[in-house]
Order: sequence, then C-alpha cells, then structure tokens
Amino acid sequence: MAGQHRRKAARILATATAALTVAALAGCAGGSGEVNSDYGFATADQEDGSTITVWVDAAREPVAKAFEEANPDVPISIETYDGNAGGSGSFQTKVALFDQSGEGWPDVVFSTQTNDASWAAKETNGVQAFAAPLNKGYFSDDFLAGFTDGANDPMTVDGSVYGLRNDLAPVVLWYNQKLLDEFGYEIPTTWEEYEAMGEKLAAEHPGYILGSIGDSFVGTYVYYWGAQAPIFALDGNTFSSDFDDPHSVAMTELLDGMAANGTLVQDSVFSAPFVENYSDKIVAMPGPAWYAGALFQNPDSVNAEPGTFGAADPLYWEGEDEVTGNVGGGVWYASSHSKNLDAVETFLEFATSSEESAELNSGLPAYDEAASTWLDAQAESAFFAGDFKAAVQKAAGSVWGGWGFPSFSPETAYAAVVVPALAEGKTIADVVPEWQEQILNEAQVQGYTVE
Amino acid sequence: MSASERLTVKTDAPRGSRSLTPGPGRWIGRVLAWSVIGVFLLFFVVPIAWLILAPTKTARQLLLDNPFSFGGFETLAANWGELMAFQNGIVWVWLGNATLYTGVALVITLVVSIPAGYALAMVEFRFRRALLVTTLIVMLIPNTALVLPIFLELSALKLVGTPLSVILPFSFFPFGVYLTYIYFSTAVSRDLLNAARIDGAGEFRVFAQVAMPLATPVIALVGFFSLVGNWNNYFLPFVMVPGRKSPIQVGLAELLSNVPLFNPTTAGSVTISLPVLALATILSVAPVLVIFLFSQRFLVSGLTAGGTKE
Repeated sequence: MAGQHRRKAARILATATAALTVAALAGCAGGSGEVNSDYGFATADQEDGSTITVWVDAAREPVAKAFEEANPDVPISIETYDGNAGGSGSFQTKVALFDQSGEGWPDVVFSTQTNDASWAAKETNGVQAFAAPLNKGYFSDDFLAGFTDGANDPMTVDGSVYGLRNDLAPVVLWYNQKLLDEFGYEIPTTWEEYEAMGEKLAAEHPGYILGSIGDSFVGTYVYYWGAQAPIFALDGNTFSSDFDDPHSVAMTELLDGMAANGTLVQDSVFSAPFVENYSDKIVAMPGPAWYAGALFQNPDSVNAEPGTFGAADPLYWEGEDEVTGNVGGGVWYASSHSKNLDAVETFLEFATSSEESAELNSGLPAYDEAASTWLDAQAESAFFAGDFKAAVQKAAGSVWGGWGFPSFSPETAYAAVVVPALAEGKTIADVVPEWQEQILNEAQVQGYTVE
Repeated sequence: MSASERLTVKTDAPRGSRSLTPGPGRWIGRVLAWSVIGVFLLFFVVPIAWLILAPTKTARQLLLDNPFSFGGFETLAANWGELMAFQNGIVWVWLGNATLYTGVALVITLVVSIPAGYALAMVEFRFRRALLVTTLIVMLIPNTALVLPIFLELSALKLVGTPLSVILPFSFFPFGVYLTYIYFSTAVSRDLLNAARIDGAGEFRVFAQVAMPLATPVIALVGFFSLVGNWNNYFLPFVMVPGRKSPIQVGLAELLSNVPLFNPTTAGSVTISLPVLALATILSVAPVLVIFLFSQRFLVSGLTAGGTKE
C-alpha cells in the first residue's frame, strides 16, 4: 500500500512538473519582444549554420531539393505536408500547437492558400505573429520590387508584407480558335461583347457554350472578382459584401441571362458530364491561367488538339479599368521565430526568383523574371494559339485589388446557396439576399465587423 | 440452449397446416426480411465494390464508364506504378511507419493492460474502485480532446517529431484494461486460480501459466482493437510526426491534397488521379484486413466470452 501511495505521489509530482514546464515554456514563447532594427521584428537569438526546417507540399518538394543541391553549405530539413490544401487548416493547427509549446516552429512554410496572412500576421495569445514581416529591413526592397504588381497584396497587412507569392493564377479568356473561325466570330474583349456573343451563339449554334458557373471558384473569383464586384471586401477588420453595387448587379444579370440561354452551363469543369458533353463545344471561357494544364492539355479532361485553344486578354467592362480576377496561387512564409534568418532569406530568394524555380514551377511564377522564363518555355511548346505569353502577362499584372482576403473563403457560400439554387432552376438574382446573408454570417463567425 | 436442442423443440411443435405450407403472412415476413438484408447489403457492399474496381480504371474511365465496370490489369499496374512513383515510393515509408508505431504500441498495450485488468479483477486493494471508475471516465474522453495536452506534455519532454511521441500515447489504452477486467471477472473462475495457489504456484506463476492461457481470446481482442484504433488514428500522428515520419493515414491526406478535384485552385506539377488515390486507400486498409481474417476465430470467441454463465 505504501508503495502505491509513493507511486501516486510521484505521479502527481511528475504531472505538476510537466505542467509547470509547459507554463514556463509558454511564457518564454513571446521572446524578448524587442524589435531587431535590422529585421523589423523581434527575432530569436540567431545561430549561424543551424538547420532550417522547410515545409512544402509534394509539388514544391523538387524546388526545395534543388535548393539543397545548389546550396550544400546551408543545412536544411525538408518536410512535406498537405500544403494546407483546400482550407484543411493544417498550417494554422500546427502553428497554434507550436505557439502553445513555445518551440518547434518550421522556418519556412509553403501554403497553397492565399489568405493565411489573416491569422499568421497576428499575435496570438501573447505569442509573436508566426509570419515574419519581410519589407521592414529583412528582404531588400530591390528584391521585393521584382514581384509582379499586386502579387504580394494578399499577404500585405497595414503595409507589411508577410509572405512571398510563389505563383499567380490570373483569369484570362480562353477561346477555341477553330470554332471561332468556323462560326465567323471575333474574340470578345469586354463583358458586354461576351454577353452579346452568348445571345448570338444561343440563337445560331445552340449547344455550344461560353463557360460554366457550376464551380464555386469560377462563380466567385472568375466572374464577380473579374467584374470588380465588391461582394467580398475587407478593410482592416471590417468586412462588407455589396451586391447593390452596379458591377455586382451587372454581373448577376449577365450570368442569369447566359445561364437562361444555355451558353453558361451548370456542370463543374472537372465533372464527367462537362468533359463528355462540352469538351468540343467550348467556344470561349473565362478561366484561370492554370486551365492550360488542368483542362486543355490534360489527357483526362478536355484534352485539346495543339493549336485549338488560345488565351486572350481578360474581359473587362467597357470604358472601365482593364482588370481581372485570380484563382489561387501559393505563398511562402518565413517564420519570425527562426534561428537562422539569413538561410531562410537565401532559401526564399531561391524558391521564388531563381531560374531553377521557374523551371520547376507548375504555375505562372509571381516573380517577374521567373515568370518571363516560364512563359517563354510555355510559348516554345506552341500548344496554344495566339499570343499566350502576352495575354497571361497582361492578366498577371492587372488583378483587381478590391477583393478581400479574410480567413474564410467565398466559395463556401456560393457552393451552399447559389449552386443548389441554380440546380433548382432559380436565377442568381433570386438568391442574392440569401447568398449575401450567408457570406456576412461567415464573416461574423470569423470575428470580422460586418458592414 | 444448444442448436440441437432448438431443432428438437421445433420438430416437436404441433404440426398444423401453417407449418407445412407457409401462409401469406409468413411469406410477406420473409420477403421483408430479405429486402431489409438486401438493402443493407447493397448499402455496405456497393461502395466497397466501387472502391475495389476503381484502381483498375483510368481517371477518365472512372468519370465516364459504368461505375461497376472492370477497367483492366494493365491500368491497375499503371496506377500502381504512379502510386509508387509518388515521392519515390513514400507510401512504403508511410506503411512502415504505421507498422512501427502500431506494432510497438501494441506490445506495450498488451504488456500493460492485460496485467492491469487482471489485477483489477482478481486482487482487492485500496483505491481499486477509484481506479476502475477513472479507467471508465478516461475511456469516455475522445482521443482528439487529449491531443493538445499530450502535445504540450511531449513537447516539454522534447519528444515531438520522434516515434515515441506517437507510440506512447498510442499505448495508453484504458478500454483494453476495462475489457480485460470484465473478462477476468466473469469468464475465469477464481477457484481455478486458487487451486494453482494451493498447489504452490506464486502470484506471477498463477498469472503467467494459468490466467494468461485462459485469456487468449481477450488478449487477441484487446490487441486487435488497439491495432485498428491506432492504425486508423489520424489526428495524433498528424500533429506529432510530420513529413516522412507520417503513418499511412496522414500520408493519405497528403495524397488527397494532390488530387486536383479536391484542391482545384492549386496548380500542382504533382497530381494524383482518383484511381491512384483509391488504390492507396485499399493499400492502407489491407494490413488490418489481413490481420482480421487471420484472427477472426479468437476475436469472435473473445467478443462472446463472459456473455453466458454455465
């Protein structure tokens, strides 16, 4: 019995010690709190030559490996994870755990989402924000100026850049040159021309299409973002969703009209019916630059003949700014807790701007020089009709800056309200109030002030 | 009542016209019973059949062909090749990790929980009841709820990222202790153990040579439950062991993130098609399935033990 008492007492002591250790560690987590003027944030004690831990998804692993080969003197540990895919939240979950324990943070993280700055740039429970501000002395202005205009906007909070964009996914207008020639149509340049083309196509060649509104990323990022519709805007901590704005109203009318005449379909571009019924019926379709590989060159999808499809400048409203939307693009973050910030800097410069990174990047690189190399390689393959490079380059530099990057996605509300409503035969205009309410509710749940 | 007894009772029952030619009511009953069985069978078998057939097709065939058509062995081989090519066959590393974590945890679980359950059932000592109640309460707390405190504890011990950070929490299996307790208190006679003691066997010998052999079914059962639970555990290894140290369940999530359909806004050069993902899923459950098939006999006897008193 005495033995059991001793054991119990020992266990209680061990538990208490563990709890105290945790508390002590958590207390240390905030660091000294003194801003290091060389970097612009409170840095950890630097240890030259210490190993940097880099988290990448499977697609970015080759870039990290290329860095390892090119820089044998920089010790690096590469760990693959799901890349925070599809809002899995794995990045935030893990950082929150490290914040609690006060150690273990990775030095560099690649995320496939563009809205992580909404939490990574904020101090949490007294622990310094995970993402290091990069433009307050850490990275040179020259290097940062090399990014395509607006590329780092999603990660910019109050003038501080918290992440470096890996790739861009601007929306362009994809078109089928053979069908346009056959029907005697011109490539539309404005939303008005696109709408008019819909009416003409429906009347003259029913069955042929100008796009799909069945995917939530298309409805939101391609159409509403591209139309400068302020339905997903963030100003500081204030979120607003304005469906009465003339741009929003005009886009809703355009989509409803084209859905009614059958030139916009409801099937997801990744679905079987779309591939089966419309692969050779797409006359033109606004969509992100990555449709190139995901749809047109993909043997499991549209699988177009070389020279059939081309990319044209994005659509805009007549007489207004020539802007477009954007669908995705990954981001690199540097940890503010890193003990080897110099190595992190070397790595990030390599991953975003080196020639190797351009070769290994599957999307359009966000760094101008790398983008140019990448586009030249794409143009060389001569798969696409027309001036692919010029169209994508123009689109990349003209992404509309009025779209917000809060901690939630606009796709959820679209998928929950609009997609089912369309399937029921309703119009988007019918469900606008419900859709707006859903977006605003989500914003409120996430702690934003709703306007 | 044994099966033969039941049969005898039936034959001895008065033979009315109803028993010779079943009436319409009975037919309706049968049809209903079979329909219910049929519906449930379809409900459970259809998805599994689809999953097994999926890796034999290409992504396009999976989209456009009949859902239950067979693709071809060549496609299966191609999909296998694609899965093996993903990060140079990391799927084997994941499977190896899962085997290491669950295997070592299984051994620790058995070494700890079987004697613990035996002691709780057979030995009277102070705080026995309190320990039993604690075991029951801990069983009710979902594993996921314990992940944060466990993470902090292991982080304080500098174990995060090491195999021990998964193995130690995996080895904590109060359900196994409780199951063993129930088994020993109901299915093993104390008189038998006392007889061994009278014959001069010490406590350890009584446990090792008399109680343990009698407890084979419950050992198998505790082992199986621990193995399946740990093999399928996602969240704990997800936060504890990143990258190449992940077990297969965390690896599956990584594979999933490379399927463009689930993650469309990421332009990835590494893409996994749905049939390859289906193949990985089958591969991830295969070890548990094989173990189940080989240990069914023990498992079933373990499940029913203690249910009746003779």
